[in-house]
Amino acid sequence: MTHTAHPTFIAFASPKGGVGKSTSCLSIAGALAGDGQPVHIVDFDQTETLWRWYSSNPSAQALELITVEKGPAIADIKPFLKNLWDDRRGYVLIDLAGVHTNHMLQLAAFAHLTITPARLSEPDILGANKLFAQLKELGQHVGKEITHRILLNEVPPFLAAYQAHMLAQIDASQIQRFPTLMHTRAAYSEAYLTGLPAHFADPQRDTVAKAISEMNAIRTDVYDALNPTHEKAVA
Amino acid sequence: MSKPQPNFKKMNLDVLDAAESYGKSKNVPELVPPDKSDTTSTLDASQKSTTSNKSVPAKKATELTPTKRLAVFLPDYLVRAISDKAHSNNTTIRYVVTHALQKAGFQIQPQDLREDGRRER
Repeated sequence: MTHTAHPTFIAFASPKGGVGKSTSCLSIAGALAGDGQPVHIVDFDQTETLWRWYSSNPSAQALELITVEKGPAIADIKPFLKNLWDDRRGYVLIDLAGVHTNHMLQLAAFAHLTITPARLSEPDILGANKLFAQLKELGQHVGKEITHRILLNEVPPFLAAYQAHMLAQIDASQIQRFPTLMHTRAAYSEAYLTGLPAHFADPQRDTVAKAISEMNAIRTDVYDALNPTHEKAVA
Repeated sequence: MSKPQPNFKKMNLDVLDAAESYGKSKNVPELVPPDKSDTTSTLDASQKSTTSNKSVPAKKATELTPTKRLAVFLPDYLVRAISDKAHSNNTTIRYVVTHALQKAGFQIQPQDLREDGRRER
């Protein structure tokens, strides 16, 4: 297994809370680790969902490829990120609080990929759209193309008319989303049920098998977003 | 499975400063940790109340006068008229009656002449 010399930073950001940032972060961490990639999660959320999951869970701490730590104070962010860049390999996933702050914009601009989870509901999509527009403008301001993707989750198997319309509107807009839809977020809550991400849980269970299958597809979407050349070739 | 090899992978910490200045220009709020010197542990009760509610002082609740029920039989049309007046003036029936009694010379305390009987919080 070969790893690149420096880690890839992925930020999970949304100006709105309750959209599935921590759950998606942990599920994607599991999928990346399931592919042999070392994953380090930095929990900047005051609710410390992921830090609590890790620090109070011996089975989580036994996972060799996934580690979690709490994010530092805002003032110490630069040396912290520099150390991560120098010391870590694989992926660093940054779980941010669901509030619209300068801190969130800074880390979203810094990351190689910023993921905004959202459900097919107006408040979530409005929040995601707001962040998309701001990151686009911010990218022009800082002279960097910010790679931003929406991860639609909790999508029901059959869309209501307004949800189908919303999906069509998203696809017709400039917002970019992962092609894969997370259909039932409950399947990805495995880590909070048995203490392990889907990729490290019992694959004999139907929900786990389904979660692994969908998370593998999302992992491919993540790789494609991080590798635009490959994405264009596929398209 | 395509392996992740981001072709733009590099790190630029200067982006943080540029993003911060952009956020400030757009009035994006910042998470500010509480000032350690402002911790409530060193304040007494009176200081706590002044620091926590500087702009919105607590409204003192109105002390209610004890009440008693008075049942009287009035003509239908008068009961209807009182009810209509309360409705049209957006007040309570109690207010219509107490206001009329005040006009008739009865002493009624101001706090007992409330137009709206709903509780204030």
